[in-house]
Amino acid sequence: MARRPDTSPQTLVVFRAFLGGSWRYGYDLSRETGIPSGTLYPILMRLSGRGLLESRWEETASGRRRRSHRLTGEGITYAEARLAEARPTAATAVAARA
Amino acid sequence: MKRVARIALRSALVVLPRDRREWGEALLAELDETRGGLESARWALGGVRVVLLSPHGLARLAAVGVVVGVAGGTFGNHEVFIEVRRGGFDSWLLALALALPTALAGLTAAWLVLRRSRFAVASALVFVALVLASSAVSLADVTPVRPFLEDWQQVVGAGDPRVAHHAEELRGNAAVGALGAAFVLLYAARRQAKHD
Repeated sequence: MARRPDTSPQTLVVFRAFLGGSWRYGYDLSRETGIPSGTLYPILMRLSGRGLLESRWEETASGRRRRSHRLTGEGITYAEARLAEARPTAATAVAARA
Repeated sequence: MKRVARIALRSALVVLPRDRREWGEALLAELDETRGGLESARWALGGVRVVLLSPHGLARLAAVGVVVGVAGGTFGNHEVFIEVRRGGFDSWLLALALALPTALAGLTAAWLVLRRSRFAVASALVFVALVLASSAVSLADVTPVRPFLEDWQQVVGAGDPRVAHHAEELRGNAAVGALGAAFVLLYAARRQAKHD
């Protein structure tokens, strides 16, 4: 059976990290979620390509440019729906193991 | 270590067309935040993977691979053609007529993929078809490949089993290499077109 899109554990962790609605840097997300750059950025790129994520360049206090990201309104709704769907699945898996 | 990581990631970025470098540049900008050599190396390696396997990165790599393959094949095999011609045989003409359209189709497809032309996928498809046809002819060991290789064996040493073995290898390797390159180019061209 084909898996629903955006329900991989990594994508769900990224959704959870974004749910506060604030702008996040890629490196900080990677540190927080434990997802390496080679996995994290394809997820961000995919979400961005579908209009679920927006990004902007920022200048830091030290004058460096960094790119920050946040879920769009549509992205937050989508992420909440995916996370809500994932919860019963996880609960079922735990119950089956018990 | 961070300097090497930065050079590696920046070099990988060159593969991408300018209007597709934003995510790679974002990865590069975050490299400054990493702590320690190992972490920066891991970050850069992940970034290189993202860049090279992105639709445009893979398409460009595949296109360059085809150009290098055609150039390598031409350079590697031109002596065989010259030897057969010098030996007084004309079987090289038909063999060249079989190989040349495929090579030209490969170069054209690679160029169109690099240009992100709307004909890139169609040209890659033509390249795959020609490679399939010429590989089939080559592996079936029929005209024009068979007389050409027989003439070559006569020129360089009739009856020498090493020459026959080498001819066999030449045919097999060229077919497998060309088929692999053609299918990767077609896959990459389709993926790039989807994201353009």
